[in-house]
Amino acid sequence: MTDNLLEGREDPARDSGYPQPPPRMGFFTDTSVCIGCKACEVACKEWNLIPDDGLSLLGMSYDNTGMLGADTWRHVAFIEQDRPLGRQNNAVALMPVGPSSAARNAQVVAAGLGDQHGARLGSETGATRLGPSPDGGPAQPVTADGRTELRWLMASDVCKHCTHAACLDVCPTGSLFRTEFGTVVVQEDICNGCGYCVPACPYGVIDQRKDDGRVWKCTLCYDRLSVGQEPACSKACPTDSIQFGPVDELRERAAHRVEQLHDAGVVEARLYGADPDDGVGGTGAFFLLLDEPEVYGFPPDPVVTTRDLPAMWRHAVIAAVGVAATALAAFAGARR
Amino acid sequence: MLTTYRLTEHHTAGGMSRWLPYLSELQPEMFCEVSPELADTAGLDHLGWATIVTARAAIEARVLVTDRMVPVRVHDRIVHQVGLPYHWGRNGITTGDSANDLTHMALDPDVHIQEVKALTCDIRPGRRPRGPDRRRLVEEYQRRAGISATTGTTHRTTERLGKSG
Repeated sequence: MTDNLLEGREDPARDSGYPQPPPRMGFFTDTSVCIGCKACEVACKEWNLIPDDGLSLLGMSYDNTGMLGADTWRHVAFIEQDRPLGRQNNAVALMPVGPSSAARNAQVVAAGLGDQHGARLGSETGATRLGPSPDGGPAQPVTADGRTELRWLMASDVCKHCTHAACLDVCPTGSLFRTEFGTVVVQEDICNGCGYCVPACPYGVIDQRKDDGRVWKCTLCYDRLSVGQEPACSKACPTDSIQFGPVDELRERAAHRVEQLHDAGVVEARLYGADPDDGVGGTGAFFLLLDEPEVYGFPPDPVVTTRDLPAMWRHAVIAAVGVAATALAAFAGARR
Repeated sequence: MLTTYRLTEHHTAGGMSRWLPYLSELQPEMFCEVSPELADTAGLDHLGWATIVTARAAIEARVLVTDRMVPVRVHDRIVHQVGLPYHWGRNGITTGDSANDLTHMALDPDVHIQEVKALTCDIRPGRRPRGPDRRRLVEEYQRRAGISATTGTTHRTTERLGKSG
């Protein structure tokens, strides 16, 4: 599959023409220790001088950001889930409670997002579900009305800095480029606002700013990295939920952390984006999740959207040759 | 029963943080948190408006219905909780009614810290009345509850010391 890729194979920086690149840098976001303080969102905006993107109460628990966008490069999702966390027991079964409000709330939220937030950002949202897990995992103790213990998941989302980055493949101006750290960055003075990269991103990260048309996304703080500093979000994270470092080292650390959580009985802990054999060749920013990726609004099996582009062009050339041959044959036949 | 608390995004009554766009966009509006059970009983809708009334004032807030709030059983009575962040006021980028308007003048008997974690209230759907009607609504509640200017003005510490000493 990698033979068909336009950009970035195994070692993205070296494949992009850096002869002696520094180690590939990235994020490991361990959502099991995220406390939902949103310091990463604020630090990111402060450092990168991103404008605020509207004061709207979304009703998605304490998440009033909704999704990543041109003016949101870190997004902390809050998911209220109708299932217990680890061995917690709040004795909810003994409480005078009725059914959960999660499903009803999710409908209200989805309706609201469609009209306002989603329309303004120009993309479909409502990916963060507040409802119970569809796999019907462990849910006990349960009340007579089916309401269970509650766990509150928090996760800080960011650009994944893919090994096979489709946004980079489709950029006609060269505004999007691969840095020596293996990250993907937009140069705002070159971007012409064509917007090809927006549908190319399998995660819906990159987004156009409506007032100037150019696209914006996380740069993994390229300016800070260049002088040996860590990105603003990981610097601000008080619990080290966001860890910054060489991707190889982070993958090792992440695998160890999953093992540790499994040993502690948190069997649902898993990594997302750490596998170099997935559809995007593994991501530079990957995550430790406590549930299915869909629960956090991540696509379960992302694939680089330019994967089939060479094959499509080959088919187009064959078709063009076929049309030309038919036309020639028609003329040749008419002479007789 | 009403309880007040703070959010990570704002600082005290919001006098500083509600002027900052980066913090205001993260918590853009005054809200009250209720359990699904209370929402059903009182007729409140997720993201709708509610009016919260105590013996001192009436304020309005957007409603967040959440499983995080649960009714509790105290002896033989079911007590519902209304959660209110106290970060809003009338100026700044994001404005809203102040939860501190509702709180009473009671201090805890030992160290005289204001008591804002447990007070009785009523919650009803819809926005609060404007102008003098707001005062009238509160007076109506006061009249029905038999609350006067002297209600709850006893100094418990003196009382207690008087008994023991």
